[in-house]
Amino acid sequence: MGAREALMSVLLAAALAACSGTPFEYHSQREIPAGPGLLTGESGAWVVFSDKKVKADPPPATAQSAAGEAAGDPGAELREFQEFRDFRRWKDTAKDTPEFREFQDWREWKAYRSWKERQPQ
Amino acid sequence: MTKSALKPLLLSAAVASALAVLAAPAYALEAKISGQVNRAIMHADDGSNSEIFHVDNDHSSTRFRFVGSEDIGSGLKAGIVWEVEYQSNDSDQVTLVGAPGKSDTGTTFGERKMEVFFAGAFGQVTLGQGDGAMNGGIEVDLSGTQVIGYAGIGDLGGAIGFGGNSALTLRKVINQQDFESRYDRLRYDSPKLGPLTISISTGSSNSSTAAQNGLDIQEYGIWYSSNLGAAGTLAFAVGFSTKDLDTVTPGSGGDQETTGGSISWLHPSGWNVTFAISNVQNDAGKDSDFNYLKVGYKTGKHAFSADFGMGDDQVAVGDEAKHFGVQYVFAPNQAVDLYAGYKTLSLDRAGGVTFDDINILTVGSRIKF
Repeated sequence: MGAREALMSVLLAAALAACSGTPFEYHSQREIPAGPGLLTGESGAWVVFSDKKVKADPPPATAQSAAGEAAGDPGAELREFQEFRDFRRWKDTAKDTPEFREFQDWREWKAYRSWKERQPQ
Repeated sequence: MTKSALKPLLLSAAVASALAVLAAPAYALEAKISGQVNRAIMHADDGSNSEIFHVDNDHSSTRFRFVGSEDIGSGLKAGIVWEVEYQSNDSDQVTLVGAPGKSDTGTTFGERKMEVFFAGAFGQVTLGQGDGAMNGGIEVDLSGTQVIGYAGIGDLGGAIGFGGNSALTLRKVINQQDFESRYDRLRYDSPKLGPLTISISTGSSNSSTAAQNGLDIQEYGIWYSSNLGAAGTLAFAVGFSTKDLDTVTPGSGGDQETTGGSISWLHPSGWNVTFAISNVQNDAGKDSDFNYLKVGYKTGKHAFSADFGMGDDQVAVGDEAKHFGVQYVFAPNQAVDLYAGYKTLSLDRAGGVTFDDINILTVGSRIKF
C-alpha cells in the first residue's frame, strides 16, 4: 500500500469514527485572527458601510404596521409578514457569523433582564 | 405555436424570471476593512555566515482585507474579498549571501485574494484570485503555534541555502508541497455535510517564472472539523491536485500531481498532535515527499510545541532534509500574539554529501488591528 492509499485509509477511518461529533468552524491561525482587533474593537473590522442598522430598526414601519393593523389596515399585516420573512432569510444566511452570535447574546440578555426584574428587591 | 417560436419565448420567460429574482429588494449590505501587522527579529546561521534580520513573518504576513457582502434575496448572499499583503523584508526572502552586512529584500506588495462569491443553501461558488480548493490542506493545525511554526518550514529563512548555495534553499529542499496555493480559479464548496465540506476548484496558475505561469490546475478535497466533546477537537483535510505542465509549453512534461493531507487533534487537557504528509508525482521530473509531526500543549493564554519535518528527493534524488523546531506563543487576547521559536535544519545528499546545519531563532509579534 503506497503512502497515498495509507493516508486516505487513515483519514477516512478517522472521519467515520468521528461522525458523531458536532461541527465547528476551523480557522487557520495563519489567517487574520477572528474576533476583536486592537484598534477595531469588538467587531474586529472597520465598517465602511452597513445598512444592517437601518434594516434592524423597523420601529417606524413596525409602528405603522401596528397602527395600521389597529386601524384595520390589512396591508400592515402583510408588511409585518414580509419583515418576518426577511428575518428568516437573514437567519438562514447569517448562521455562525458574529452578527448572529450577537443576536443570540442579545436574546439571552433580554431573558436575564426579565428574570432580574422578577426578583424580590 | 410552432417550436421555433416556443424556444425564444421560453428563453425570454426564463430570463425574465431570473431578473425578477435578482431585482428583488437588497437586504443587509455591509462592507468592512480589517488587517494585521506581523514583525519579527530573526537570527540565522548557516555555519559560515550569520545575520540578524528585521523581517515580516511570512507564516502570517502583514496584510489588510476589504470584504463586503449583501443578502440579495431568495436565500442568496453575494460578496467580495480583496486581500493584499504588504511586507517589508519578507522572512522567506532574506539571504546570508550577497552584499555584506545585511540582506534587504525591500518591500513587496502582493496579491492574495481578489474574488467574488455567491453563497446559499447550495453551498458557495467563488470566482477570482484566491485559495485553491486544497490550499492549506497540508497545514491543518490546532496547536496554537502556527504563527511561529507549522508545516510551512520554509516561511522563515526559506531563501537561505545550505553551504550558501541558492539551489539548495530551505524552501526548495523541505517544502510542504501544499497543493497549488492561490491562483485565478472557479471554486465550489459544498454546504456543510455534518462536519465535512467537499471542495473543488479549477483554474490557471500564477507565477513569476514563465514555465510555471498559466498552467491548468484542478483540485479536489475534503475538509473536516468536529468537536468530539470529551474526546476533544479534530480537524483534517485530504485532497488531490493536478497541474498540466504542457499547458504553456506542449511536450514539456505531462502532469504534476500532488496527494496529501493533514490531521490535527486537540485534547481537552490541552495536549495536541498534528501530522501532515504530501507526495508529488511529476511526469516531467522526479517524485518527492514531505512528512511532518508536531506535538504541543496549550494552557490558558500559552501554547508550546515541538515539531519535526522531513523532505525527501525535493531537489535531487537522494536528498534528505530534516527539520527540528520548538515554538512558544503567548496570546494575551484575541488580537495579540507574542511568539518565539528556534529551528535547526540539516541536509544530506546522495554520495554522502553533507552541509553545516542552518539554525534560526525568531522572536516577534503579530497584532490584528
